[in-house]
Amino acid sequence: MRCEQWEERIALHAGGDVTGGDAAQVERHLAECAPCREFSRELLEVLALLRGGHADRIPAGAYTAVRARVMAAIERRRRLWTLAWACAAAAILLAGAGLRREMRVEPVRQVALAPPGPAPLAPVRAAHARPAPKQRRRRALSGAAHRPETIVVKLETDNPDVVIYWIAEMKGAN
Amino acid sequence: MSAPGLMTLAHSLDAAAADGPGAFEQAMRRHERLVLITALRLLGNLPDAQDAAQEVFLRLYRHRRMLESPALASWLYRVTVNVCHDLARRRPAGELEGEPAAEAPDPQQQMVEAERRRVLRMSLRVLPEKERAALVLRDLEGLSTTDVAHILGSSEATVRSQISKARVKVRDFVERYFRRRS
Repeated sequence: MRCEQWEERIALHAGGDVTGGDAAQVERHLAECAPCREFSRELLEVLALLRGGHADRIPAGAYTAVRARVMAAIERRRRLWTLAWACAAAAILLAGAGLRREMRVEPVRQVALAPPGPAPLAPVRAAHARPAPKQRRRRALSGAAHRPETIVVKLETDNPDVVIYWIAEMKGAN
Repeated sequence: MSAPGLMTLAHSLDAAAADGPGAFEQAMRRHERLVLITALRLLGNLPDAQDAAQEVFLRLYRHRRMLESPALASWLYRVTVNVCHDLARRRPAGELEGEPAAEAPDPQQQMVEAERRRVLRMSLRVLPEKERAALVLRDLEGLSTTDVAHILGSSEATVRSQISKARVKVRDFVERYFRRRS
């Protein structure tokens, strides 16, 4: 019968896990105890058997299969990420376009201050010109709301002696 | 494997640490034996070990910065042990499958190797999970007790206790196995 109190130390010794004074103690005991010596020898044999089995090569196909599965999974993940990024970018662009449409300011009607063409040749009245008596009476009846607004635009030319006045009357501006 | 051994193994990957899938595949080739055979010893059959190895390498891909770390081998062992632990919990232990092996040229040699692998698989199966992990890393993969303790997140004293118990149990199993056969 092997000695139970030595079992753990002999097992460690068999794998080279006991050093120094402890190793010397175990070796002294093994020298004196035949059952423990037999136990130690069997342990060494079993460890050699296990290491031999462990050293046997696995067929290359087993590694190739793992590699192929890993690379396929990585590629799948990469495609998913690409798709996710594309979707996110498209969503951002769409959201941006929608926001711009919401924020667009309606064009404001602007009154042109400069005439596109030459000044009108038709006779015009200056702002201070007095209207005809008939017209004056009609204006007085209709009130200030219907008074036409007169715009006078001074256009300077290259010739300092020539100044063009463009006078327009806007009817129903109010 | 001692700490310098682990560092040498890890540093060999420096050149392959680029981000591209091709470089990663090269890195995988360098470490596939470590991962697959450790998983095979811990789980006992090749299909489960391949699933575990796949998961380990996908985790490595997510943590590609580890490719430049001197602690890469240690990290791979730890992740392999953890992945195998999770897989073993999710899947009940099935029947032992014959482990496919690279064919030896001599039929007699083939029989000897097949028997050896069978004994190895069966004897590891009689061990509790933690003792099995300690024995696989220390006695089969040849790591130091310090490295094994670091990988398993245990103290060296605990690992020494697990290793000695595992060795005794395996020796008893092998003795019974051959006694029955003879």
